[in-house]
Amino acid sequence: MKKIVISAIFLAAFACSSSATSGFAQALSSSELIENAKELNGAIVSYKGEAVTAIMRRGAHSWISVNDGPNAIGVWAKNDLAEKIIFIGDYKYKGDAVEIEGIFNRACSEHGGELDIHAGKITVLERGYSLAERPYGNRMRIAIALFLATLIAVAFFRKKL
Amino acid sequence: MILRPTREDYKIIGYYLGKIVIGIGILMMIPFTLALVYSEYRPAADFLLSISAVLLAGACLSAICYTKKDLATMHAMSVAALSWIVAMFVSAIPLYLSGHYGSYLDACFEAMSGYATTGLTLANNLDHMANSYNFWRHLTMFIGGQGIVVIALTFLFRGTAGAFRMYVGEARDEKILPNVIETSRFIWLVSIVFLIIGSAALSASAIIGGLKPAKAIFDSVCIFMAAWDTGGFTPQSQNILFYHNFPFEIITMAIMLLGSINFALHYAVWTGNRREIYKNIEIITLFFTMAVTLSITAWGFIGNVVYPAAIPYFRKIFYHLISGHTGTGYSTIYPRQFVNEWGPLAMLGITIAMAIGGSVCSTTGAIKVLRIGVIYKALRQDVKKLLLPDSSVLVQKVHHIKDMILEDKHVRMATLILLSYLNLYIFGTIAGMLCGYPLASSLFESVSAAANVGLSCGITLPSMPSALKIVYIIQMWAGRLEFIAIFALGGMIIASLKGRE
Amino acid sequence: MVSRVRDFFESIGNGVLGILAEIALVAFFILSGFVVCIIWWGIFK
Repeated sequence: MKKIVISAIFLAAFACSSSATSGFAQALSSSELIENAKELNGAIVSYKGEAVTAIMRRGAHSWISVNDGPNAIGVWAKNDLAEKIIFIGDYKYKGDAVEIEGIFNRACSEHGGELDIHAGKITVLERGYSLAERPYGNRMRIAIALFLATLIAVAFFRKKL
Repeated sequence: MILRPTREDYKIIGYYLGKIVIGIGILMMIPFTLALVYSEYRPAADFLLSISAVLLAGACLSAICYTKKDLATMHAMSVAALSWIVAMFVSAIPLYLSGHYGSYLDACFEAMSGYATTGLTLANNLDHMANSYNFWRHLTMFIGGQGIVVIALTFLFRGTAGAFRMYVGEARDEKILPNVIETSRFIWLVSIVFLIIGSAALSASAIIGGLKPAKAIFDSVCIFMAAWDTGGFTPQSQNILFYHNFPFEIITMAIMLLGSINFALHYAVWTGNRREIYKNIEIITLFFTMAVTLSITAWGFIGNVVYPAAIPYFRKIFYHLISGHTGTGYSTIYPRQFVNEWGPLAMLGITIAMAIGGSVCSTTGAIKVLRIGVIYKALRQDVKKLLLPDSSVLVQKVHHIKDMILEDKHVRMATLILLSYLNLYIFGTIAGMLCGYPLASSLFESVSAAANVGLSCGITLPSMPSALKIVYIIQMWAGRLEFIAIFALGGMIIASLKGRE
Repeated sequence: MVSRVRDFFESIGNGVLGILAEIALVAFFILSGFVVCIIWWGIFK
């Protein structure tokens, strides 16, 4: 059953693929990649997500963490590809939405058996932006009021504490 | 004839619980300060709100229940057991306010997972979590690993006999120093010294690996706290896999192993008795159980080649073995890979390692190697007796800091604890299977929760059944406290319902 | 007074040697794990 599903994905992606250079890339989610790691090992895949946390530069390459919701997957890319990414997602920023096309490795021999994607192509689908904090005015007022009430209570009860 | 607890009994419990709640409120000042430092104003408001609510509740509780009496064993055990539940409810408040948890139950799960140094997480969108909330998650591991009562003993309580009984209730019965307050302070000293060394080593490794210094230091401190307290939270969603860094992994392994050592052993070694390192029964037992469970796990890869080369084989298999055996729960693979690639035998090897755990009076959980060692020696003694003439007297010695003669009461206690844990593991396994999960996965996850490990094979998710979340919370709590305090609490509840006036 | 200072330095010294001993212990555990892994990897690759 699994093999039929995978083949269907292959065919559908092949039918939809528009880029001449991407060849047989299938657009897959992180859950699909992890769940079907054995079958997809060594295949060229397309993976979309948000660049998050940090980009780690190592010599001529960088590690990029790309999160599509349920999981984040490590992407190993040459620096000229990695440099396309400007915004990295954390508390204050929404990271660039990227599409990674590259070779999927179930247990990468170059990287100590890790599950990763060696990127051949990175496309920034949507630029990230600065995130505004959720409103906190009311909450801060309640907090300060409660804090003052607490100080009064502690002063009142101090002999019993 | 069970006597019903009196009003005075409830007051004693309430008074000390109130103080512990106050303690937690004070500790929340740390992430509050961090929120201001990082200009995270919404989290700052959330923490200020939480601090105020918690301090107010604790102050009122202590004031209403004010008493000058000291704790008897029954009170101390109840306080130890209840303080973990109360701490969970209270610490979940800022987590829930953060918006990163599907429900208050999920936030409570996370808080209990932190205090019990388990490391199973239900956080949503962890990669966008503010530093202050994240630091609070890791701080609960530091607090829980040392012991909530230990913290209170260090700062809030007088060093009375009752205080010692609470310390025991929290599953710490090693009296390292004559005074329990001094013992707590020594535990802190060791932790702070290794915090400095460990965080420095991790930061250096992370920076060499390409992480920016500010992030490297923040992550290293968080990861040190979670590794030393054999907890397992990380500040981002990829666990240790994110760092893609072999030296970093080795350093975390070292920290995990150090955290799984008995604090009494740290004390012995730090005060000149270095030979204890290789004479101690726990270290010897740990060496053998690690070798055996590592082998079982490795056998799971016979005919199932996942890591063809030697270094990846070592990096993946040994890392998860150490992580599981020390009860940390750090991982460099995705949870589903345990099921899809490692297979049942390898999972069983890890499960057994998790079930055994580290040393007593350390930050680990589970049955613990002292009991395994004691039971093994008892078995050896019994077998020897069969082979010797009937009239001979055989004395079995055990070396644990000092030489001890193995007595029946030691063996009895060890066996009772072993059986209690096995029951807890099975209870969680059945619960998992009733929710539809297969045996190998249910067993793995149940042991992970009850032994406070935190490795997951994919069951623990925000979408998992609420009933199972509650089961795992109970398992984490019971496993951390080693049952006695919980039985005492249960006894007290029954006494309050059925006891004679 | 002198003996107190000496005791202080002695306890620091013991502490440092203790830490080094513990680091040696964990290094031993990690190396042993490596050896066990290599043995099984070698036999069953």
